[in-house]
Amino acid sequence: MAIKHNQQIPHNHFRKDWQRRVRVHFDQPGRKLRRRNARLSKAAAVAPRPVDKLRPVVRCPTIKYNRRVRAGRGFTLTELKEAGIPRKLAPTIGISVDPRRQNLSTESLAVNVARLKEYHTRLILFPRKLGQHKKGDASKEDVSAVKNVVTRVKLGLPIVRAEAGISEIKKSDMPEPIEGGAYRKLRDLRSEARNLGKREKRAKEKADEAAAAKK
Amino acid sequence: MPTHLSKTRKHRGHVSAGHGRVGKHRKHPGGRGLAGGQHHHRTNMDKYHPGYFGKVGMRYFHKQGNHFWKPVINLDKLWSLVPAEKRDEYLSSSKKDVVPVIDLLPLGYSKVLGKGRLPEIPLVVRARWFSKEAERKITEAGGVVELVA
Repeated sequence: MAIKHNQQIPHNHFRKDWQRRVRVHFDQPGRKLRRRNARLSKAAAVAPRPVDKLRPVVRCPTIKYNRRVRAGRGFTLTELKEAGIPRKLAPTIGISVDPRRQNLSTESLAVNVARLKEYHTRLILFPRKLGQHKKGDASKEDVSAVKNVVTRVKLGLPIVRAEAGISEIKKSDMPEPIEGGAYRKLRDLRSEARNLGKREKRAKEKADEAAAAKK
Repeated sequence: MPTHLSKTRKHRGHVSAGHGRVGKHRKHPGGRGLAGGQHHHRTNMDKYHPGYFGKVGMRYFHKQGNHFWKPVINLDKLWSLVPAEKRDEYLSSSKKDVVPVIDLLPLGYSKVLGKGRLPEIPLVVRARWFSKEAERKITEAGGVVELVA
């Protein structure tokens, strides 16, 4: 058809070949069973150890999600050092290590060090061979006294998500208002950030001029 | 369609069957689909579909929506975030010595804007951004504005 009259412009997608891209999940129930069996067999194989490793608390990336925390890949070497755990030992006692991650803030460092220490106090390290006690292992009484072990570190040391949005404080505890106003502060900080380079350059030029004039 | 309704039988024996000798009945004389939108069908496109061709605006390479995340909330909606029964307690000023703290970031808001009115009840509002008007109205109601990262 040629273009005629005041019609909607045709925009048909007839060459999609959609039947090639269709995927079906008829193995879903079977897969569910297989996963379950695998989980159980793994738990049985590693018992009394927990199934998973200890993960650090990290902030999600980007402005949108950095209000949330989640489990990260592994603890940084700084965190391990701070907590006093040798980095070669850490992965052997159920602590995951990520040498690439960096601690950009003291807060993140403190939180994860506290987490490591908490884990270390609760950890009961069995000797590799029964009766052959080595340094760092839990004492014999501790090992024999072990009763309730966690099957998952995730449940034992949960990562607590975001605080509630609404709370209340005493009237006397009300924070001081920001000097000059929050709006003014935001604008000033923005201009500061934008003009940082320019201002530095100007200051440097001025200093250079002064130095040249002195000579 | 039943045969008796169609004129085909009557066209038999007539050379071009009603489709004309000069123009002829050809398959796609104007081209298929949207062919000729800028050429021989230009008049129709300009008349009925203005703005179909061309671009508007500037390009922004690798634009990611998350970097522009800044959901706003106006002052008139601010109190609605406080659960209803608690809100009534504050509004009827039966709770004299405590003030509500509204931390907007966990509630999914980034910036507070100044539309609407606030009751004259002190409150603490925490957010990443405030407009000038919003800050003025909150402080005039006896509240405090707090900035968070």
